[in-house]
Amino acid sequence: MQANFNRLPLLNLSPIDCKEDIDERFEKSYTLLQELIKGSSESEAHDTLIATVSKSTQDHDNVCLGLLTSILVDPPNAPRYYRDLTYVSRDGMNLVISLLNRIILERYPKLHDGCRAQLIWVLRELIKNSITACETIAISLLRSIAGGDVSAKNLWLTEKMLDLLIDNRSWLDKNSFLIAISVYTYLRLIVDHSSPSLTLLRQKEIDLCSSLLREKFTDCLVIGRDLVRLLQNVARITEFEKIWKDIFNNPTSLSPNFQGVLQLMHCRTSRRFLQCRLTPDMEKKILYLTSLVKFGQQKRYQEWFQRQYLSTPESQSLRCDLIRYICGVIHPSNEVLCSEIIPRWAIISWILSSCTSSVAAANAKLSLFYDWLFYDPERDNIMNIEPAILLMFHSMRNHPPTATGLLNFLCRIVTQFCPSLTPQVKLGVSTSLSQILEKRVIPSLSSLFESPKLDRELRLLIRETFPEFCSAVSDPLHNSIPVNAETIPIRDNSEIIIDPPRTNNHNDVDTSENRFSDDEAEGSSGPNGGSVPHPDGIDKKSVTSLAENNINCIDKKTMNGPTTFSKSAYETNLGRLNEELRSTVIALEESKDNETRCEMMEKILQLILQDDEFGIEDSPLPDCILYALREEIAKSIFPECPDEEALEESIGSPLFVIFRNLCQTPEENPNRVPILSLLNEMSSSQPSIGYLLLYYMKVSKSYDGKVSPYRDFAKSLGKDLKNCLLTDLKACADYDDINLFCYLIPDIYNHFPMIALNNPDLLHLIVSCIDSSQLQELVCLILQGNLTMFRKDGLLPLLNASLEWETFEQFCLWQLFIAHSMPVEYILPILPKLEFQKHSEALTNILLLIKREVPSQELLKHIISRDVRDKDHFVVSLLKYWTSNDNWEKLAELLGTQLTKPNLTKRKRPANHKISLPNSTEQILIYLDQLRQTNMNSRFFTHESIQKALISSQELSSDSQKARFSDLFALIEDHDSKPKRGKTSNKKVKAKPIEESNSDTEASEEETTPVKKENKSSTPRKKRKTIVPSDSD
Amino acid sequence: MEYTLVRDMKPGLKNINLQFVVLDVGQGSITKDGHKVRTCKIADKTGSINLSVWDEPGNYLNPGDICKLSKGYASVWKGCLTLYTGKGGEIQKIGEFCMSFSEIPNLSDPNPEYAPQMAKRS
Repeated sequence: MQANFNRLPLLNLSPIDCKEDIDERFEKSYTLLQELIKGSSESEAHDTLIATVSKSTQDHDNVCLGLLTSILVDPPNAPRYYRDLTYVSRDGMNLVISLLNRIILERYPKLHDGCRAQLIWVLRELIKNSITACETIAISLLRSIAGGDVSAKNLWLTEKMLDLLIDNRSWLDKNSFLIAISVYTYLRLIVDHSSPSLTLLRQKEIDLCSSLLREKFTDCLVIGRDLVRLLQNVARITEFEKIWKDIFNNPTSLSPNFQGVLQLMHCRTSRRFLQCRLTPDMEKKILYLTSLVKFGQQKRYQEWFQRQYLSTPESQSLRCDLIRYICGVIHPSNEVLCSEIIPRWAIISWILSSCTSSVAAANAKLSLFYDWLFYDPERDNIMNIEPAILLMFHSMRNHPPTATGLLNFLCRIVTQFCPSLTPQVKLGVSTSLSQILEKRVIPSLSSLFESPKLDRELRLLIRETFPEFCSAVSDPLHNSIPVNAETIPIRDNSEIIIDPPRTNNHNDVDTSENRFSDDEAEGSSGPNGGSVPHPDGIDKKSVTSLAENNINCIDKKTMNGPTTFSKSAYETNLGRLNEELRSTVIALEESKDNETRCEMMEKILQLILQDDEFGIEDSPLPDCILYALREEIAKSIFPECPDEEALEESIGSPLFVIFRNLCQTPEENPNRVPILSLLNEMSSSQPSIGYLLLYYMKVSKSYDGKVSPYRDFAKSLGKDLKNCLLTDLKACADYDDINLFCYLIPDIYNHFPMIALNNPDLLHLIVSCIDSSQLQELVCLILQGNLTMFRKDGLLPLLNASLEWETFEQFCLWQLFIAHSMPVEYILPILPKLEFQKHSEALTNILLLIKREVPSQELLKHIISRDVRDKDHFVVSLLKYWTSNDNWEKLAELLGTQLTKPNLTKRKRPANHKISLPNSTEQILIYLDQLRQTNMNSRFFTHESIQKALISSQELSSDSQKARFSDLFALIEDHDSKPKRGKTSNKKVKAKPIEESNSDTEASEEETTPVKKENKSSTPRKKRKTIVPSDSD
Repeated sequence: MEYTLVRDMKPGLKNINLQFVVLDVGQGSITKDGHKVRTCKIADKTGSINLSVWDEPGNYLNPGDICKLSKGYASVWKGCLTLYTGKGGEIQKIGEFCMSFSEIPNLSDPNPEYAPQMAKRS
């Protein structure tokens, strides 16, 4: 069936391609139609068709589709089929148009060349007959032209559509939207066609675009600011230079309604334009990536996309289209924002990092910031500018060059985008930043603008460009939070566990900088705020710590809604509480005395427990409590100097009263339920609740072998314990002090071993956020026996997963692993999987681990079974290392046995007539040969076992193998007779004294192997290092 | 159609129908009787495994392809669990890219439990 269909020149399917429903439909209707008209003359056929279509809608549809398929696959008879189609169609060709659109959007890449040509032909016919909605087919075909692709087939479509538009200009002029799409498409494509061989095509494109812009500018205005972006790229071409000048200097000459470039720049580009520069296939894949792939699992998808669309030099230009699409079209729902799906900024980070030319990189960055330049909160969408700020925010921590590169670009674009519009661009960018803070996309700009990772020059540039965001950096954010104008002490990156070696860590951040303020003025600049230089090495993130946390997380959920910290919401909520609760909450909120507040908290809990009717779920109480506790939630809880006393003190605030009540209520006591529901509700808007509970349990020593408070907490959230733990720890690592995070880690492993041990997600989280001193703490804990992170079972999947991690993360993993002193055997099975170049981190560490081992049968088996590959020095390095230390004899014996053993079994097989070495033996010989080439160690090769093995291998070798290993077999020493048992010692004697250059090794060997000493001393004869055949006997 | 999950593969399993995404396509080697054999790493949402692809289909497979295997079987080769297309079975490409998968566990990681079987085979 498939073969039959393949003969219809409709689709180009490979032998493994599966047909789709639409293909079957075309096939079926084609067969039906051909059956109907088989053997009849043209007029008879015509009559039959007319009769058939009047039978039923289904018959009508089948005939139409059959005729359409016939047009596509049978060019010589296409005019006849088309004529029939116009006669029989009773829906004004509606069905045909919609099927054509479907086949173009879904199957164009698979369509047969001839069929593609027929698509153009039939579109021309439809235009000729002024069929309604045929411009939609033109739009679908224009979309099928891929950007950044100068392959012959793509150029063919580019040119065919261009000719079609030029030839049908009067029809085009009547289709306002098609004009805009055509201009947008070809302005963009001109950039791809700069090669001299494409001059003619390019000139045609220039002519069409410039003429449409000149004569139909009003229709083009609808595109919006991206029209300027595209025009800017071609503005040096004479035809466009004139238009470009007129846009700035003489706008009404283009259109009476056109007021100038600002009008365009203030108009956000409609999604339809941004979408039209991605082929349907590209769009489908980007949509999948952004909506269904979890963060951390995107690597393969990115590789696939990159291989298909971003691997050629000319594809550089496509990156701008992708970035504009992601910023402007993909606006994830809050649900997706809160999930583990890869965020948009991470995808853009990947696209940016794949730019290989500086021009492409600059264009890509401009695309990323394009909606910032003239941002207007009334007309623009925060989601368009969100990716850029989040990309800078997140990369500042893990990949500072990306962040600083973007910051630098942002500062420069303000003045350089268009010098005459600098004030407007400045306003747009400032408005963007204010909006970002107001909507709490990020909590403050200080982690960017004041990052210690900025160099001096860039820091100055930022201060110069955005002075209002630099002094008292965090103020604009806090303006909108009705918190008392109290100074909240913010803690720095304090040390935990053991004093880390960082001495410059006690930074002198002026707390006034972090002041919460009611002040409306944006520039309520503290005179010295923000100007304090931060010593290097400060984790600036932890300075803002919890404050960041709350805001960032709440924001993700309520970016467009009210925040939990709104005073008016609080007051409304208060009104909904019963009187006793209300007065207690007010007392909790207003009191300044910690003890009183704790009492009030206690009282609230008592009130809840006493009231059987009380249902937390729809009660405003959790929100009220969060509001009342906002200050302590906002500040970092972890003490600077975590001694017993400070830790104890840190859990003395009202928030911890709730945890204490939970932990002190026995497991089966029903009173746990209301407390859990309260925490549950609170944690839904305050992600820190979970890890603060863990913190409380650790500090108050509530674990005591029991994890039930946290376990029940997870259960009440309806999550399984593992996910809950990971989410909470991630929140802690992302938003709170990393030292607090590290403080929690040992307990996680000790109390949740089933979940934590060998858990790749948990370990990845840890190694992705710790620095070298925190790594050191963990290693020390492991050595002291207070922390175990690995066990034998499930070790390999963990190591496998780690291969995808960043280099530093992998090194951390190996340091932690080595600290555990686990038997190296546990990790050996991963060896064959590791590639020398690709997995250098893992292989290097395994190499260093194995090198310390004494070779054994088991060890060698795994090492030798690594496939031989070019430029892979793993095996030969190990062998070389062992042959040059005390292990050489052991190695020789083991390898000798390995080589001879399989040969013997082979020999027993009578069936195996053809003499040839088995693969495993051949592999060992290859490695031995490599070893031979690395500066031959003769004592090793003259060792009896190796000699014996070489002899037997040579005997069993095929001719080609003999030739291949001729140099190796040349090392076989000539003997008149076969070695006999009695002569073993003799042979050793002979082998031994070859050492002459390596007397150090020999000396040490004498110390460690006294047994052999006798042999040695009895061999006065020395031999030259190169082995020459000798007749010693 | 009932699809078997990668996670549930074990030596000797027959009549396997599987929907998977191709992760890596090996270089391939030629057997004595002239067949081209490629080892492809494939995965579904439960794990990954090696698929040994013989002759023509291997030339058309690319990483990222979503395929279905019909009438496959699982067996141990060189100590690793490997899938094969059985008699009357085939590999058909049904899409690209849009499938979620998990690389771990890799069912084809060398497994000492299979060692005895391997010895028997060789």
